[in-house]
Formats: sequence, C-alpha cells, structure tokens
Amino acid sequence: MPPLSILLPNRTPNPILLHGRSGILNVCEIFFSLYLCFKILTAPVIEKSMLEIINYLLCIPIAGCCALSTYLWWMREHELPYSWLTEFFIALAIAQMVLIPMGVVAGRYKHSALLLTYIISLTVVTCALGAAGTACMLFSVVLPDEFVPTSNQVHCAAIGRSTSTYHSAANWLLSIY
Amino acid sequence: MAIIYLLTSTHHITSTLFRQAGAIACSRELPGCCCCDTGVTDDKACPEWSTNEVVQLSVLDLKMAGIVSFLCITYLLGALAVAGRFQNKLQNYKMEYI
Repeated sequence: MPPLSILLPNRTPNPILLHGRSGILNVCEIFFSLYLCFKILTAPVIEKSMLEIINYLLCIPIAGCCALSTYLWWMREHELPYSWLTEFFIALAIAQMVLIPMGVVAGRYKHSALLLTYIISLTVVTCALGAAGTACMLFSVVLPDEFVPTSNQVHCAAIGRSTSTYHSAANWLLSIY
Repeated sequence: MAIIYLLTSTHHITSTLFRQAGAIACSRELPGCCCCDTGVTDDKACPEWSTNEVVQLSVLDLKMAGIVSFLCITYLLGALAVAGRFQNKLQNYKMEYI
C-alpha cells in the first residue's frame, strides 16, 4: 500500500483564494442577517419610516460631493476645460441638502405634491451626478491618449529633428500642439 | 452634447495642460518643486515633475471623482426607489367613511 503522503499531496492553500472564500461567506452572512431583520421587523414597520431614514442616508453622497469638490479645488486656479467640475459638485451637494428636508416633510406629512416635486428633483440630481461621473471618466480616458506621446512618436520626432535626447523630442512634440 | 463638447475641446485641453503643468504641480503642492515661489508660471515652475506625470495624476484624480460619483448615485437611486414606492402607496390609499 502506498504511503499516505503520496495519496494526499501537501498542497499549500492559495491565500487570495482563502480571502475570497471568507469574503463571499461574510457577504452571505450579511444578507442572511438582513433577511432575518426583515422577517422580525416586518415590511409595514420598516416602510413606515423608510423615506425619512433614506433621507438621512443622503448625507453620505453630500459628504462625497463635498469631498470631491475639496479634492478637485486646485482646478479652480487654472483655466482647464474641466474646472467646472468643482463648482458642479458643490452645486450638487447644495441641491441634495435642500432635498433632505423636503423628503422628510413629504414623508412625515404624506404630502403628495411635495413628494412628486421631491421625486422629480431627485431624478434631476441623480442624472446630473451621473453626467458628472461620466464626464470625469471620459476626460480620464481622453487625457492620456491625447497627451502622452507614444515611444514611436518620440523616436520619429527625435530622428526627424536630429535630436538625441528624449526631452528635446518630447518638447518638439509638445510644440506641435 | 457632452461627448461632442469633449471631443471638440480636446485640443484646447492638450495645449492648456501642457502649458500649465508646472503651475498645476505647484498648486497641488507636489513634493520636491523647487521654483514655485519665483513667480514662474510655465513648466519651469516645477521641473522635478514632468508633464506626463502631472497628466497621469490628473487622470487619477478624474478617475477617483468618477468612481465616487457613481458610488454616490447608488444612494440616490435607493432614495428614488423608496420615494417611488411611497408615492405609489399614497396613490392607492383609500379612505372609507362609515
């Protein structure tokens, strides 16, 4: 009979795989806990104050917009075509600050017209935030393609201008723009 | 419209950022800049940081801003779903007088 070590080879577990498994297990536990909470509290109790609580949760995107405008504040000092993003994020934060009391009042007093205004305003803010995010992503994709000269371009420029250094070739490329 | 604006303004972005790379490095307080206080505004203001590096940092900023924006949208969509559900319940609410 062959020894047991041959039948069961000593495999070292992949740490990334282990972390992934434990992460999936944790997510499953969270969802199971949420399901239990939902069963214990029941839907009517949760929905009673849901609109009020979700408005308090809107403080997170407000903080996000404020943080983004602070992070991108340096753009205001320069004439960049995407400097408007800073002001845009500030405007979105202010709009969401206005939306919070509106939503709380509409939910508490069950005011139909106010709730409709709230929904329309929220849709506009969501679309605006989506547009800002899309613009950021588009600019981030366009910038490196347009700005960074490829090695072939730099090489051609160096040969064409009879320059020996990378920097002079790159500077010549920049002067074309 | 935004995409058209983006495509048409690309050349302007290129020239602007290339000219202001040094000034941007100074205003972002990147470490190691030697000549920020001398009043020079072009790329000589911070020769330690190349234009390409400043561009890459700007790209990183924009990517982060985009990701945070999309994360914030999830909260707004949640609020929108709850408000829609609440509106639907309010419309179906019936009052009976006995």
